[in-house]
Amino acid sequence: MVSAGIGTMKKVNQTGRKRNMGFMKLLRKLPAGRPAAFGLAVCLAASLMAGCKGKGDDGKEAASAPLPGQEVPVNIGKDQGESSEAMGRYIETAMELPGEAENDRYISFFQGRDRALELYTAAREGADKLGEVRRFLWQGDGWKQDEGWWDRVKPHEPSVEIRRVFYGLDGKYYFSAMGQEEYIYHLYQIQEEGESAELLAELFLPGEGQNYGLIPPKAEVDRDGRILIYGMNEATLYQPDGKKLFSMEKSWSGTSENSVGYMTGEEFVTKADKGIVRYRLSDGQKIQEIPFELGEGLLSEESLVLFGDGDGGIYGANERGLAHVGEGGSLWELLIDGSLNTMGMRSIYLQEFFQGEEKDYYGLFVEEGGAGFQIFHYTYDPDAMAAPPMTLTVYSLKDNSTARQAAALFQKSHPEVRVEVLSGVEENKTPSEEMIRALNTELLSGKGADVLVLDGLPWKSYEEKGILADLSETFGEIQKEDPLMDQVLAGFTKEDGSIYQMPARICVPVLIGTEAERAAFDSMEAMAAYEGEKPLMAAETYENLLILMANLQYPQLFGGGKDDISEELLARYLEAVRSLGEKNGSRTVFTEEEMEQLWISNHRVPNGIRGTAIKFDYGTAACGVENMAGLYDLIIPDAILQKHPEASMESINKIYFPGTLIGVNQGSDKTELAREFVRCVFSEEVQKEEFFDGFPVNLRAQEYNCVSSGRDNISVGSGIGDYHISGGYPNTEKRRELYRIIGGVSVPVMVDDTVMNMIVNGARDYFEGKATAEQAASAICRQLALYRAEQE
Amino acid sequence: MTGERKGVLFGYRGSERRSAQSRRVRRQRRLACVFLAPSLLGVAMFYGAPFLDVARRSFLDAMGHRFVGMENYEGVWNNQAFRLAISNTVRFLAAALPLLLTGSLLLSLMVYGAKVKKGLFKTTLILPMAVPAAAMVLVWKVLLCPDGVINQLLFALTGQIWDRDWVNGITAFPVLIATYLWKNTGYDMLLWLAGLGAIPDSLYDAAKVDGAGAFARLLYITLPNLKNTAVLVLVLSGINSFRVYREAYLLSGTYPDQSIYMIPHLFSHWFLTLDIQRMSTGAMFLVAFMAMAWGLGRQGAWIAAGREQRKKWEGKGRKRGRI
Repeated sequence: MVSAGIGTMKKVNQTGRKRNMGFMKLLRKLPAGRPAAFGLAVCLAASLMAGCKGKGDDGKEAASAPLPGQEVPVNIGKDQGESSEAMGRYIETAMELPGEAENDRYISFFQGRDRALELYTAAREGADKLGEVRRFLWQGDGWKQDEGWWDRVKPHEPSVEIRRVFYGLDGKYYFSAMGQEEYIYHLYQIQEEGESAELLAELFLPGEGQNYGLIPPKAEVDRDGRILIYGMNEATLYQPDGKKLFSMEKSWSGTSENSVGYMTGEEFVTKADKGIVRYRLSDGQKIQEIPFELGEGLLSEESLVLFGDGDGGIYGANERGLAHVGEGGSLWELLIDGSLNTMGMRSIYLQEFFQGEEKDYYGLFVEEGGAGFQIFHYTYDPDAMAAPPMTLTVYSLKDNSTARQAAALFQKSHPEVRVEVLSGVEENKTPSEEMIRALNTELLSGKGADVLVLDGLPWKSYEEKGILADLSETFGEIQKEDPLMDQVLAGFTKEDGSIYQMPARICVPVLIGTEAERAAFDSMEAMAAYEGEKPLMAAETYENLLILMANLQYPQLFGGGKDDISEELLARYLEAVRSLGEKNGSRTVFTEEEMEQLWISNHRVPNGIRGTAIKFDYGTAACGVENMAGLYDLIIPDAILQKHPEASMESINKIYFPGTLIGVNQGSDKTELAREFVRCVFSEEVQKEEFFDGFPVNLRAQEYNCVSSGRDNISVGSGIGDYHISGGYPNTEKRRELYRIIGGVSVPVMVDDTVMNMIVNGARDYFEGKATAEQAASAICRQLALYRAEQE
Repeated sequence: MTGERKGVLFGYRGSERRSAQSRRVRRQRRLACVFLAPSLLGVAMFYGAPFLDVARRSFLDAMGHRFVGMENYEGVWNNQAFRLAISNTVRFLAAALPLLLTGSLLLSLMVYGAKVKKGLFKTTLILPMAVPAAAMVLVWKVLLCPDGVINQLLFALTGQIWDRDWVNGITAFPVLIATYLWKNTGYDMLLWLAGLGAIPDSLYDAAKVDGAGAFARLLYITLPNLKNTAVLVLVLSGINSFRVYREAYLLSGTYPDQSIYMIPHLFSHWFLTLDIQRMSTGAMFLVAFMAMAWGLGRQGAWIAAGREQRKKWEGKGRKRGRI
């Protein structure tokens, strides 16, 4: 048939007739080609129909539908409502915790004998002491406590506090504990009858001249009873008799009980610097290294949990979701999208994650500061849409924890919406201008994110150009239902009552000193004129002093936010900084020796505030200035205040630094949803969480922060050389006192980075003695005039 | 009869040939259009249409929603930053282009006349073009910063401490011109060399026989024959001069010394603040300036051509008179 057709075609060509003919038309002209043309047309139509088909006639899933556990591609940035019919994804359900363990501290959660779920918790007794340890077994419909378990297994001597319980591959139970009298790590094997047997006791004893012995973050036992002890940078395998076999390199981990890695019968899998590595347990040799790049977007490094699939494959779970790689493979497949469930939340940390019996998974999350924990069960639902039909996009230049937390909670309350949080760079990195240009291009083309976190973006310009929607109505409703700080809201309300952006967080600079020092911060001249036994502030680089002064004396220098500064005022500002610097030994650049001596560095610090409370305590400055960004920042200043009853803590000139500035893109086609998201950002539920990015502006969240408990066991220490200070988490009274100070601030300070850079660069010659203050001020003013002229 | 028949035959054949020729020409034109179409389409899509959009936006507000008439033109024309950028750009062109053209021509004459190692000279002079701008700027910084090599050399020579920041202050503009010359001289030299190679040797030989010296040969043979090349070099160098922003940005950051603040600096900042209407208006002004410059150039060329024509006629007239 085919050969006949070709032969005929040749024949036709030989006639030399020049006629434009479609291929199908040509085939139809051929006597032998007609059936072929018909056949081809049918095949083509059939294949096209098959390609378009979503569901079969009987309503069953078509072949293209994802299988359980198969990755479902997510169409980022588009609504999938009408175009995507993909069904099936993992659904998260919260598991009820045992009533007895509601206020307990989490100890361990794993599958024990016969793959039964086991949960271990410990009652809290005081700030940093644990009471009774409880064991719960999952019965299919609830937890059942194994009464008296701890009494049965705990050693008679020494007195220990439990750290972790685990089930070894050899089918035996183990637990690790710390000695209460001597700070020594102990590892025990639980016996069927009788007292638990201690293992490798010698290994954990302090060496000669050492205060502490080895305190491993984690231990595991393989099928042969060999014990794997995790260290900071390596994991070492020991024979049960204590004989060391070999060590395997791993990525650095702290003393957390959940160091990354797991053992199978033959292998040890862990995370190394370049990726996930498999080691052979027979000789400790590395057998595979699987690329694991953060930039590829599957998994990030923090809070990673690795576990096996039982068939040689590896699972990795973290904030991004659950990913899987098959045995011998190197491509990670995302099974559970963390942004659609609790995994993506920033207020809780993933502690345990493992596979259930039927392609289901369990995850345990611990709340920040160890206050509480939650367990979730992940099951595949073939009838759930692969991705929510609507997408709300949130953009921030730097990764923003508050926005991510709000996104996770918003999705929980709006299952039909996927909140996609896009960020230019990670939290600790510097964004480039290119990122702003890329965003501007999108905004100009009428696209762009629905919600904008305006930190670092030209928000004033966006406001002028009409990019931002007026949120006055939304904030009016918020104020009625869940009030925010009045003075902060007032600071961002225009004369006509419109609100285009509002900070979700605020940081507050505070002064630790006496009344005399507080008076010195009234103006820059007063700061310069301060005379006392000690300099007003500790030595600093002139760059940081300039920035600090610009921030603390913002109203005086920039006329309440007009970014306008005269040449004369600028000269006075430079002279004031110099005067301040000359009294405390400030420099343009410090030498290595000076840096070590003065506990300082040449780096620029945010807002010019290095945190000098400890220098006040140490006696090198008359006062200390701290930038409070969360309740943890109160620990050291509070400890210092206890040592100095003559000193007190107050805000400086009532100023505060707004953060997580939220605005809504006027061009968005989901402005209502975006407003709903804004409500979520400012809700008590999101605001009460602490991400070290500032204090909440929601009054109920502030009150919650004052009265909440669970962080009482936290203590922070700081010290250099022979100086050391430490303190515990502030109590309710102290937290209230801090919130009283926060409640008094009313001046938002946002120094324009470009202006600040021009001042810093232009003032260099003055501080190096190459120019007078007037000359430097004149040069800076010329630059500033150009900057302003651009915007005129 | 034969003649008639011939004439008819020739006449028929002649018209047939002419019509065949015109058909061929038409066909060739159509073919040319077909070949040009993709390129023209690309230019229309990626340059023409955006240009029209830019022109449209110059009469609208930033987000393109409201017609503002000539408001943007008035604003940009009175904008001090725009004026500074334009004047700096013009100043830069006026200072750098003659230096570049002269320098590269001299170099090309030297290389062209070199008896040995011609290739080595060429390669050495073109090398700066191959160096990436970022790497080159690092070298410049090492040379020009307050602790840089130049200040150290000056210290070694004079015994006095030199801590001048060469990329800021009075020296910023010359430094920028130097970087531009360093980067582009080799490329322009190549263009000049191509022009020099196209001048027939017979002209030089004849001039030599007539006793013309090297300077006379340069003045009466080389330079007049490089006229077309000069236009090409001028245009390309002018275009390249707009790219000097990259060096200025890498050397001095987003807000450099005011003497080297160029149009791209301003446009970059306007884009950051989403002032698309200003950028569009600024672009329209630039197009207008360039069109004016081109118009003036064309007018100059016509005047020069007219003068030459008049000279020729006058010469012919004198000749006839003598006869």
